[in-house]
Amino acid sequence: MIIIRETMTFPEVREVLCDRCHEKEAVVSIVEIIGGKEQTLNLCRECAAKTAGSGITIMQLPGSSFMSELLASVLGLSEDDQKEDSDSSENLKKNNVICPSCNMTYDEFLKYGTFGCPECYRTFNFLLDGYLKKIQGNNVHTGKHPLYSQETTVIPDIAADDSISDDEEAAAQESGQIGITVDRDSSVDELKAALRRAVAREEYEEAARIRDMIRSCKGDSSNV
Amino acid sequence: MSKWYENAECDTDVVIGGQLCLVRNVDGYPFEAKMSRQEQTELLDRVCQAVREEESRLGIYFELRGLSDIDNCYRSSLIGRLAIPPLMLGTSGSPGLLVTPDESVSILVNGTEHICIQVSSAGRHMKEIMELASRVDEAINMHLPYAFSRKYGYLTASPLYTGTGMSASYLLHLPNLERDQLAGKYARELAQFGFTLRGHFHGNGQAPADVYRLKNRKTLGLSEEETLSALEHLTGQLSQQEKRVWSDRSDDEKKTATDQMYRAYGLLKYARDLDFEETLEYLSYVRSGYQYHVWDSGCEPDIFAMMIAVQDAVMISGQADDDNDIQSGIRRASYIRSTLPGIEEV
Repeated sequence: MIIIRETMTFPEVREVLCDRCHEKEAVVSIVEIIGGKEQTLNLCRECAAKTAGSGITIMQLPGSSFMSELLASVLGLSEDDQKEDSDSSENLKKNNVICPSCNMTYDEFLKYGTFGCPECYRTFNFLLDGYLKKIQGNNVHTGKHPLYSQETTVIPDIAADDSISDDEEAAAQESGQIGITVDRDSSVDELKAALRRAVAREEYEEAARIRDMIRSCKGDSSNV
Repeated sequence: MSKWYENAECDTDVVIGGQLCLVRNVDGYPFEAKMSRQEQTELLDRVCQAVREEESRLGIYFELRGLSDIDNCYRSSLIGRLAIPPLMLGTSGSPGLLVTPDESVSILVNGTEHICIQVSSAGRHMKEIMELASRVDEAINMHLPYAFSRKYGYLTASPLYTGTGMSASYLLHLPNLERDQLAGKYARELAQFGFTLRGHFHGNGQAPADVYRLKNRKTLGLSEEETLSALEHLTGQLSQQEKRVWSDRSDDEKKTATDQMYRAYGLLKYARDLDFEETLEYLSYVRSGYQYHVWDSGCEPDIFAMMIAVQDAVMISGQADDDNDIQSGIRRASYIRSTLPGIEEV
């Protein structure tokens, strides 16, 4: 399982140098989880492109629509940068993150500037949260809810999870909450709480397992 | 039937009219980019069915216009008549439009988003517009579940609408701010509040006919009420500024401006060949003549409706087939001569 996170979307993160060349600023943080062990690699764009051969990819932006340019500029990828990278683009696999529901890749999203389905919001959530904040100035909805239908897509609140303070974590540990393991008999609220904790601890495999359980719970309840 | 913009209230104040769009996507379907033709047809049927069932309760009756087989000119004319927001109509797919006879309420299905509900009204009545749009929104929601997340709100294909999915705007006539080159300055200041102020008509100048659209840019993080309250407030400020610039003009300046209004009226009254942009320029002067009580007319003027009608696409779609040979400039001048109301000096 590979998670690619753009470090520049988190302004609180100080400038990090590339782990490969130790010269340029790292723009991509690659978290690779192999057999439960987590490896983090902070790379500049050039080194990240070279790493692409090993199955980790950085998005190329072939489209030239206004939205794609706008998104590219939000991402900090200028046209010149794209040209510089174009030589190595053949080596890049473009499908680093794919929406399981509509098969939209992150590249496609950047190219067309639109999502493929509601599920895309959850799929690209790791990458999206910061960008929405840049485009919209905020990343949490505060307006109207549909009067006659429920929430259809549950999106874990990553930004809020990052902000869980050490005190809260310690208090949670003391009260034994963190020790609780969840299974299919757990309530949705318990699962959600467990999901938040797992993401906060960056245990993404566990988070994915809990997320699937929440999804199946929701599926069951909607079938009733 | 006359259209919503053919209303005297469009020409009595700085604010011409207001429009509000609500973008909604139906759960269970992919967004437009990943949708098949079959899914689009099914969605259109379901939305139509939902709307038909709610029509009597809403007290609004819609006509269905399929847009897939109709030529681009008709599509452009609908955009020109403000029945569809321009960015909402995609280039492919099979869109359908449910629209009231006066075109004040429209529901675009299968545009760049599944559903785009638009409500328009002359004058400054955003509260009533929002109430009506919400009623239509809820009526459709009774039959179709919307894609929604607590965190991001209404989920839309474009991240620019994510959240409330609402874009609210006022059309404003700002000739004095434009002439004093203040509009650009205000546009930059308004951007800080998350609003855009842009010329409404397309042309070489910044804002042909001095008609601007003030619109919210952000849909995430602010509630509908907060956005509309900010829009009202900023519209009020702009409107006041526009009037203040006029009232602060010296008598000599007012005389010069009045002379320009009469000249523009004369040109429109007697010209035999008018191009689009010059027509808009003169109509802007004529509208100022009414607004600042330089002259009066016995009947309701409908100047904004004339601005809409002289757009190429709108003119062509409204003409009879045997008029094809007549040049658009000549047809435009002929239309203006027959429509321009008489004036009486105040």
